[in-house]
Amino acid sequence: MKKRILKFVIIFIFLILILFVNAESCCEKTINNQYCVEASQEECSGNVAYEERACRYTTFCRRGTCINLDEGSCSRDTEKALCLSKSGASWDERDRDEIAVCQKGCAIFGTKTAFVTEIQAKELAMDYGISYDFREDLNNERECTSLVISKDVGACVERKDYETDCKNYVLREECSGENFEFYSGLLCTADELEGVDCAPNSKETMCYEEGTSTKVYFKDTCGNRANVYDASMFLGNKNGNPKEQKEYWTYIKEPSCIVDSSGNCGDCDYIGGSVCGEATTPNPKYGNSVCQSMSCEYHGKTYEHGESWCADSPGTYPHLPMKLVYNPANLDLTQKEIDNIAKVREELENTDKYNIPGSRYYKLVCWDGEVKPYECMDYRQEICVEEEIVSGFTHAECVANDYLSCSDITNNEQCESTTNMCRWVQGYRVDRKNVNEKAYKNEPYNEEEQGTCVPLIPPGIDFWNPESNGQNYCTLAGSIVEIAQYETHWMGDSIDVSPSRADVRDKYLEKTNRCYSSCYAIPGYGVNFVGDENYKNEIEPLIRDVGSKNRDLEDLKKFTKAKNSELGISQIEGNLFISDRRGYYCEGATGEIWGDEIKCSIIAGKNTNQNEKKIRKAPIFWTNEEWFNSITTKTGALGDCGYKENIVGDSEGSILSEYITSEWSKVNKKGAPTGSSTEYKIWDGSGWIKENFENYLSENTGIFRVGGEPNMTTCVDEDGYTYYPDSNGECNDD
Amino acid sequence: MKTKRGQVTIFIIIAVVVVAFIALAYMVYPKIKSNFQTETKNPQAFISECVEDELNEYVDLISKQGGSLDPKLYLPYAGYNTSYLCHTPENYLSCAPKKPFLQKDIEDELTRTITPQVEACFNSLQLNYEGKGYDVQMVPGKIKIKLLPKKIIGTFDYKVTLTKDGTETYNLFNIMLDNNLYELIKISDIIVEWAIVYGKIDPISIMAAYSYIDVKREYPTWGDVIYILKDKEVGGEFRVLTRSFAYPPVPS
Repeated sequence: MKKRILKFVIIFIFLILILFVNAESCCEKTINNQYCVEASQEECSGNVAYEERACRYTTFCRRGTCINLDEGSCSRDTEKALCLSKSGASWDERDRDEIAVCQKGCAIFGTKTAFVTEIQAKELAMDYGISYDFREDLNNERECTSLVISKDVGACVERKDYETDCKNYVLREECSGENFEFYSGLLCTADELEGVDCAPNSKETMCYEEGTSTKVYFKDTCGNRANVYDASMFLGNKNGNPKEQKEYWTYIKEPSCIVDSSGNCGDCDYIGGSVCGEATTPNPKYGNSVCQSMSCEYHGKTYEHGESWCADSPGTYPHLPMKLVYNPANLDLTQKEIDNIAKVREELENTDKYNIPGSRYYKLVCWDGEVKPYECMDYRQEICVEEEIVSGFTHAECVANDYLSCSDITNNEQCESTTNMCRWVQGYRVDRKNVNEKAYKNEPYNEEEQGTCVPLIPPGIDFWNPESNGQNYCTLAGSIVEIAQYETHWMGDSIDVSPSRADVRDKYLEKTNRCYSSCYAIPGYGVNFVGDENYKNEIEPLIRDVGSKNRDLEDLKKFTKAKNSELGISQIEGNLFISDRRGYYCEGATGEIWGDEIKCSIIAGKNTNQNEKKIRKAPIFWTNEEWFNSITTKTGALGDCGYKENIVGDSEGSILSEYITSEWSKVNKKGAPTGSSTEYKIWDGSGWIKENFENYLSENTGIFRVGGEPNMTTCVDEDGYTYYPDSNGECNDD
Repeated sequence: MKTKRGQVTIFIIIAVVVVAFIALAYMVYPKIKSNFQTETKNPQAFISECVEDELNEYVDLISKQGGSLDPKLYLPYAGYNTSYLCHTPENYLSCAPKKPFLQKDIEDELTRTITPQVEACFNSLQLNYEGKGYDVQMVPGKIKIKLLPKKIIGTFDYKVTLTKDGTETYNLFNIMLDNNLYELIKISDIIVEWAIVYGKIDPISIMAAYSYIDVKREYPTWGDVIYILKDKEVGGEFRVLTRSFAYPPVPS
């Protein structure tokens, strides 16, 4: 009791200290002129405000809209003290969208537009010495920039004494003066313009930016830009209509041709993936400029301008489908998509091949004829996913790897749902409880809840940094301690009874046969029932008295059901690496299983009534192979934990990061371990360590029971779950 | 006699060749010309040349440092201390803008920084002209650096009167740099907006709206995002550094 009180006091003090040391505090202004920073009072400048809480919760650093009326600019979510430090600024607690003076509109300066506030428009007009028009109704940038300004432009003819000049696309107001004549909508090549010698030029074309696109234009012999290049419209081109051609060189016209590979149309479209450039191929009929494709060549494939895809970066899963992530429950998927996602999810389980240490996802974009790489967040905090949005055009995104939500999920169905980036690993739960049913029930194994939900794509961890949480995370999440307990004959060595304590020491088979608790932790337990031949071939040479009978796993499960008569179970034969102890199946029971049934009654063999209350739950694992696979799979899925090869094929550094050790211990009357033998590392990431394993098997310290009946003490909590007593032999489920 | 005349002839020929060479060099190499013509150099051109390089350096530095010549809250990146335009030290929460009126801040800081150089250049102008026999009257005025679309304008409201054989008065000196820092700052405002609301923005969406801007995005350290904006046509680069909606590196 005293110890408990002391423990509580220590914890209480520790918590207080944590609160005290880690308390947030905010300084209005520091001695080095920073506003609203979390700093100690000593760092605050002079007589400024200071509070012991995060800045966003203080009055002086609250966030609101900072307004500068001189410039007409407004900054949202700005800290009050910082705002008021700016000359001419005022602070408003309202959101920027609620403040009239902060609203932007479309300012029109001649033929140019800008999406600004009205005050900003006034400033710009003053800077340039021009007038402006302000459209409040156009309140988004796209509408403003795509606004077509109807302009009165045309040919401007200047008649000098000795010559006559003509310029195209001149604004009416710019073509004013005594010697100037303005012809609205006409080109300098129009016949109507007397004395003007400009003619169509077949040798030169030019690139000119109009809006967001740079197009190809004809030039005239005076060097003026004419209409958008259309080869069929050149005078005398037999492919065109002479009347249309004449009009084409008389009036300013909107383009009507379609860009194709011939190079005969100059109506390039940036959004559509073409831009004006010097001709290489195809060679245009007139001039030397064409609409060039902005597509990209990459690893033998052509990508269009604007197309994006996921890079095949080392150690990542290539081309993850977007619907792996964006897959809300109500989204209709085709069967092909469903199958593809299932296949991808299954392949992602191979954490030795995909998402290995050092791997990082990248997105590639074809832009302006160039392939541009964009990295997703490091440590696989983001992954790259892609989809084909129209035939042959892919779109990729770096999206968050939502692995954090997996730890909150405690059931298989939700974990494996395609709306989660998680997978289910059968076996241990996070709380280490056994939630299986009693062994005699149908389907005693609770596949739905007996397991852990782990990330589908393991995040990266800075395991090389001893000061980070990385190593702790792997250790805490991946450490397992299991105590497998054996029952020896109560008479021990004093009688020629086999198996004696010495026999248990010498014969490995006896260890598995006489185990009654956490037997799956024993290397080779259930080896006759394993499905993986590699595991069996690896472990069998290491253990003696290899059993010769093979039975399938169903037989093993039947033993644990202990159902009445209908099973017809015969006595376990001695060559199977499974427990033959009644204590393995029944709480408080001792002795060997005999007869056709396993009956959990108070006195073995003397009571034919089945005591269902005494029947144990189905174990978390049936065999050592299952246990081994579960813990190694879980370790690999948690993150950069355990024995893994990195992207350069190096695994040397991680060999110490995943291992199994084992030792023998004596247990006292209450079943608690006392004393121990040498601890041997019997397995590491590279495999079973033969010499250590053999030493472990031949360890000279046997298990000795100190007098009396073997004590099968276990504890049962209020929910009916079984757990071990502490080192004092006390049942304490705190 | 013949020998003596021959020697003279040779010397004359050599002299003609030298003069011709000098004349040719004078015509072909303008710098030589201008060095001989310093006294007729326009004061406007003098000031412009004197200030331009240093102003360019400051513009370059302030751009690479995210809008500050002397950053306080910054991250060392690629050789420069880049200041945060939007920052929060907390995880999972949105950032707060740290330079609400960035354009004005930059204009003020450039003005403040270039002022000593401008004053020194005008002093140098005065000395230069006085050395050539001019009487120089100078009235110092306001110095201002302004960012405009596709250019940076420096206006120095000095009045300089030069007197020698006549009087010439020069009012209002200008310097202009081809640099689209103005628009890069406008785009940085958009990036900060997105950082506040969403954490970050896809660079492609910026490039689609501004075809002449190239945008790179990187994650220099945990939680930080940096955008490097470049104007492909006019020139200019600007770095935008944010820390918003960050989360701890490993599950805790």
